[in-house]
Amino acid sequence: MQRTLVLFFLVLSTAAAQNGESIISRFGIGDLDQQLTSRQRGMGGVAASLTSTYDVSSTNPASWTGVGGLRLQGGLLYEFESYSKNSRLSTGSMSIKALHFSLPLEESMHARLVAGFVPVSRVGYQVRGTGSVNGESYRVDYLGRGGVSSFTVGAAIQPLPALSLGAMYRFLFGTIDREQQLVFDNGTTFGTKQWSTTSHNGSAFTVGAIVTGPGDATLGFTVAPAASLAATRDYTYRYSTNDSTVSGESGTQDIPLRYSVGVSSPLGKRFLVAAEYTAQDWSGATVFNTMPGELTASYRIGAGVEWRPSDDNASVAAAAKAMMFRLGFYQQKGYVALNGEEQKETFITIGAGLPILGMNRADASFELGWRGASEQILGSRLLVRFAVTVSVGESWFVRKDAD
Amino acid sequence: MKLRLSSILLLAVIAAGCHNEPSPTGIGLLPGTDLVGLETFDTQAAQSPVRSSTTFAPTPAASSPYLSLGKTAEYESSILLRWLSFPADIAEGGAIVSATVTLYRAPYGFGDVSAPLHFEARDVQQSWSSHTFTSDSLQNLRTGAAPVGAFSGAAGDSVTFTIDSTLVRSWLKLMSSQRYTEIYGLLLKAAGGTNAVLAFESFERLNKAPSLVLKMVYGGKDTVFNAATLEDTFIAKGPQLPSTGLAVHGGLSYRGKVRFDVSAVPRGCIVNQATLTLTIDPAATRKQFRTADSLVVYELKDSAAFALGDVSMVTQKADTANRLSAKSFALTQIVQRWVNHPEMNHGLALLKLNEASDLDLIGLFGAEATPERRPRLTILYTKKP
Repeated sequence: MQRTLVLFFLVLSTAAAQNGESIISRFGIGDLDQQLTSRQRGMGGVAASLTSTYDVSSTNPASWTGVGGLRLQGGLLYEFESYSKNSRLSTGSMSIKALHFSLPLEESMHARLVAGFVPVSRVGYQVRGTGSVNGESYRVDYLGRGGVSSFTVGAAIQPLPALSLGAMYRFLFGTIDREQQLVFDNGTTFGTKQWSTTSHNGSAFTVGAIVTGPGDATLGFTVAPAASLAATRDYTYRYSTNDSTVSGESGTQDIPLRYSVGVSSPLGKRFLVAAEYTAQDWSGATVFNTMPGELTASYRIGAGVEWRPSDDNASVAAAAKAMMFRLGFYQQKGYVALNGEEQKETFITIGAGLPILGMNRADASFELGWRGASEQILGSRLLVRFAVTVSVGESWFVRKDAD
Repeated sequence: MKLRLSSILLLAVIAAGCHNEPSPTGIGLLPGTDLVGLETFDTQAAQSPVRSSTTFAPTPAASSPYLSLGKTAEYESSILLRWLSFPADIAEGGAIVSATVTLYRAPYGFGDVSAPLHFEARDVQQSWSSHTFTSDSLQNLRTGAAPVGAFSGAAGDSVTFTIDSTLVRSWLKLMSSQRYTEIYGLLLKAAGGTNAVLAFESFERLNKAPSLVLKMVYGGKDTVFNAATLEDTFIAKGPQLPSTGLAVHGGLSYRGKVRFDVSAVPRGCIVNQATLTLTIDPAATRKQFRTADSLVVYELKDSAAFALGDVSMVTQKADTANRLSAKSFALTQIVQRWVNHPEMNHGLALLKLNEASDLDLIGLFGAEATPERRPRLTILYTKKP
């Protein structure tokens, strides 16, 4: 069963087409990934202060001290968006949402080593325009695809019973393609196809801390200092002579400082409530040697509750087996403001977690949200997100009684 | 069961990830630097420099379906013929009663076509090839001092004349000893009194090719033999090259050359379409043969050597009766090469359609003409982002 799950997930991840359509992803480095697990999504996007025995967070490395055993975790997200101003337009896409591997190093201070793959952004848009020249009609498609991803490796440690610390190195990489295709309706005039490929790479870090207070309330902090990625851009043109020209440019891509502050507190033995604020200011960021006016400060504020029907938390194994249900909401403002119009989203979230077999767990979340306003150029949009995270684990450092 | 369930789920996931079609939503939000911009460059509107000239390009007529013969005030055309195959066993024996050559009329000609045609046939005394023999080769061609045949009279549907049987006997002996390359054939040349140039069918027309018929008494019997394996060509001279304008003349040949300055199109831009427009000068045009008002346009690979590219295109009638235009993928490619590699811009060569056979003259306005008549190149291209 375990092998089937892992194989199924890996196959799904390769079959997942990172397509979909959002013209907003044209700007900056694309739609920024929230880097949340399904559990965190179900709780209104709260992550910084949450600890878990099985859920490996992409956001706060300090939370890894709570993860028990050896774990392999991965997630998928399906997103659907419907535009109100164009009733025929609705888009759907599926994407990978992180792969993590967690290795326990030492148990007295809950030292953990975690490595993984985490998406940072995604570009996906397909826009069509039409026109005519000299009496010849044509259509032109503007396509964008790609994004930035990261390989991460980090460690967490609990030097004091009430303090967990974590740090994560991220190697960011990825390419963003932008293509223009012009096709004449007469079928005889040679069309245009030209594209640019921008490659990014660079290093970044995230540090985090979780402080446990009275009544097991936790206060979590994460900071990802600003980083600058090296970027190179090549242009390719398809000529009628079957050759193409590629020319290169170099530049930089800023990733501004990002921070999160969150609190969580158990209510009795079965409820956990949490809230969080996250912010990242893109207004002064350089995107390939220019400072686009469309970028602005972004934030997210959310809150959620988790209900565990069983209060048996006596062991890691027992906690892993418990079912959980979640409810939350959040509001966030994106980092792109088109024509001065801010892109605000409001979401209601629900989620559930259930054991699969042994130490394995699956969490699912469902989000219903609204983006934009009717008077905006893109109108209001309805968003639906469905996410699944599967965590597969095995016990380590289980002391056996000597014969 | 598990495998089946997994497969179904996998297919569902793949289906969920299928591409959407592009939509117009958000087109107005794209930055201006993303937008494709189409531009038009017009040498006429931009008053861009144009250069044109006419070149004499002696052209072999090996592939011509017609052989022109005759003479007018401005033109003279001669025919070369030879037959390379005769029955092998008649070389030494029998008696040649007559050897007659017949040429079949083609429906073209100019001058006083109804007047009698006069020409002489002379034996050629040196090697020649229809693939290389041109009008400037004729002056050095050695022929016999006296004619070996002649014709005077109305041309009709065909022209038949006899030739010296001694000459024919010499051909038979050469063929018998397998010295085919020494059979040089006949030169037919217009004689005095001719004031027309007439077209006759050539070897390419097969059933109406020039024929040589031998009537012999062989083995005591009257026998007729037909010569085979004909090689033929014609060589024409015409009017002087024009000092102004462009001239394209078939059969001689004159070829035009035109070169445009396209440096105003930024290097590296994608050329979507190129259109060449030429204006015919009716006063400088003579329609004598099939006269399709069409030219064949080639890229010039080397201007000095008049080296032609591999691909050509044929002009079409444009918006007015006296305009020709060429608009094709081949021309788009040619102009794209010029835009990307200016050093490859040697211009375009203009050839008469049916250049090998048709003694037609198309006069065109050249670079020195008024702007609306000058050769014109229009380029539609995409600006680089």
